[in-house]
Amino acid sequence: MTDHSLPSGKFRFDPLSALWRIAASPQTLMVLLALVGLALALGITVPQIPAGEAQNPQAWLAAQPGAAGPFGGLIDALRLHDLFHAFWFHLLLVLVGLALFVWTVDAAELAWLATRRRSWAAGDLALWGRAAPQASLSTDITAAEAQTRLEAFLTENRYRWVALPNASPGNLVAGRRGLFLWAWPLALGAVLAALLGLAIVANWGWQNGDWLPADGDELAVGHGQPLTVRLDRYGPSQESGDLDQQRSQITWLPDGGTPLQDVAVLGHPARFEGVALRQMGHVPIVQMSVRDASGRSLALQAGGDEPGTAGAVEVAFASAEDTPLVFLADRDLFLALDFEPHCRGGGPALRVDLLGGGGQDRQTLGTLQESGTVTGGGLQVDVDLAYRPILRVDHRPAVGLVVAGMALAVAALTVGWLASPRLVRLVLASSGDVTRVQILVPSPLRGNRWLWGLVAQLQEALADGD
Amino acid sequence: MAIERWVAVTGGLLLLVAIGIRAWRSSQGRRRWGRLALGAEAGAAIALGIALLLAIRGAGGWQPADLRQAAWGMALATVGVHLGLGWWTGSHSGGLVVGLVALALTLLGIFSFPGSDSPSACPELASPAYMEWALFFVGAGGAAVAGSGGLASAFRERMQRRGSSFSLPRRRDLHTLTAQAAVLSLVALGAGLTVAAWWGWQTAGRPMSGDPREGWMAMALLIVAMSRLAWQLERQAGRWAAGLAMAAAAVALLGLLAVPGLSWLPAP
Repeated sequence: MTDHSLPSGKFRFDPLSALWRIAASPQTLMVLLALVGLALALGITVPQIPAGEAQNPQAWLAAQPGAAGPFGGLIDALRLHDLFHAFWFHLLLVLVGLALFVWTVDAAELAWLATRRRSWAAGDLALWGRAAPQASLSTDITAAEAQTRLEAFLTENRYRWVALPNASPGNLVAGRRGLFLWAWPLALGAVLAALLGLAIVANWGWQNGDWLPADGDELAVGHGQPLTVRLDRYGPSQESGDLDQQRSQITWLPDGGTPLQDVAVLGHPARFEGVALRQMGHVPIVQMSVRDASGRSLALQAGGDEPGTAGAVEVAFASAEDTPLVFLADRDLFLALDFEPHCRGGGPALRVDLLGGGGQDRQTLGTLQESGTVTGGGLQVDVDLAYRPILRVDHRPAVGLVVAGMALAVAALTVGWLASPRLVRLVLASSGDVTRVQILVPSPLRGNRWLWGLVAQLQEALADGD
Repeated sequence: MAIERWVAVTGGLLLLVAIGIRAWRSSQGRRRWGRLALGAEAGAAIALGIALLLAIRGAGGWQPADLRQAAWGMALATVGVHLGLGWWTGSHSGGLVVGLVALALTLLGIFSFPGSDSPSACPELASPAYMEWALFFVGAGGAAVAGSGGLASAFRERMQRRGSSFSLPRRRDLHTLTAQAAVLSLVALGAGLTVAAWWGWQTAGRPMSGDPREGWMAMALLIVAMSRLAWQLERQAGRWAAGLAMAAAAVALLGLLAVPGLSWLPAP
């Protein structure tokens, strides 16, 4: 970007132009991407504060092994345990967004220049940068003859070419499938939109914790929404008894509005005015009773319940990963329940283990896929197995923007790659009996596979008739 | 030994044949025999595909966290991407290094034990998750081929400096392989992450599922994007692109095979 109106010898620093040049350089974007990659690596290797602990992160941090180690202070200072909400990470994303904006504008300018009807101006050649020519050819025919042959070749091969005005003779710009040059700015713009969506997701919207209702339970959505949701029934669909196809029949109950029935299944949330209710999975609800060899019913104690009396006890899993214990006071033993949601082609399964010796001795009594009985250690355990859904209510409108932006970027990148648009500048120069043809490719199109094929074809065109 | 291991051994032997032919061809300066090497590579791809299907059938389903399935899946993707790009670009250069990488992955799968899969390898895989992981494997295979192209470029420069009499592949062919494999990897990893974001949104209301391997794939994607951007550098573009492609391949392999559960400060 040279200002020819300025008197020679005078230089005026333009901060905006300088900033633009810095943001548009590949080095800047590469460094920023490297920093984002490094942040991702830290985000994976350093455990992040779980959403459920956000109310009291200090207690969670204090419980982390290594928190008091030599790097504990650095981790705290950089907020590595809450990296994706740290100021410096947001600043990094803003800088990436700025660079992507500049790249999008530059790529759109190149596509516009290549597809417009008007001819190229000398000032437009800055898009080719200052790199050395990507390829060079030599021939012993005259420059005029070489230009005639090149023009004939380009016309025959359906290149759209123009001789540059106000430039030395033998200076051509040629392109093919130029329309697909728009794929690159479209992909960059879509990534920018996805990044914007991520920023909105981080700062706007809400998500409630897991809700494990029984049939008939109601939940006030909260967050200022005059809305309540009720689980009417959780069970298999009519078409399938498969537990993965279990569905939650619900009713939206807007304050003062008409109730609306809906269904949520795994991967297909129920939606009402921007609020989504998602079925995340299911957990078992176990009714359990234990008898000894003589058939006597044993007293059971589950979780924080009062010391049990003989009979059945209900054990509710807090999550699919939960492993609740049931205490057999008469025997000083524990029963451990372990739920495998869906394993190796089989259905969900509940494993019942008998723990003794302070947890040192573990004996698996059996695995159940439906209600039944397991025996072992002189005990008979009767299990009545039922399921409750894990439901979650949220309002995060910008996630759609993230997904749409990513999908559009991938589609545009794929189209641009497969269509492989071409744009080259050919510069002819004579030196003695030799005519040299330099081939320059604008920077966004470098590293493409078509260049060497074109070079071979041009070589052939220049050699024809020799 | 289970039958899938024997099939994988056959695939490994065919890869060894392809490597041997290519090495001999380079040392003798002969450009013939290329079709035989390609045939051996295609045979290896078929054998690896069958071994993978048998392993999936034996395990009762596709488990991306199963080291054997992951290693054979990666080997198959690497060989498949190399064959596909060779057909598309008209050059099968870099086949020696690609063959060595695929052979190492095949051996890793053969010598992994059935119990070596992750303890959490009991996922509820829905169709979108299958698609996500298939795209990740193709993307990681693309990164492995791009990295192999970069490694072959570095090897070529070293041999050339020493005045080697070996018949080395052309630099521009290796550059084309590196660049095109990087774009394929970028597209496949991007598509995989898009499916992951969509499925995470549908099931959990978040743009990702929280699986750490998705993070590793995102890192590999960023490095592949850097490798692609490196072609726009004014100086030593090929070297930067090759080096970054190697780094992307290392991250993709590490993320899929070695570190699903890596956590420096494990949660209690």
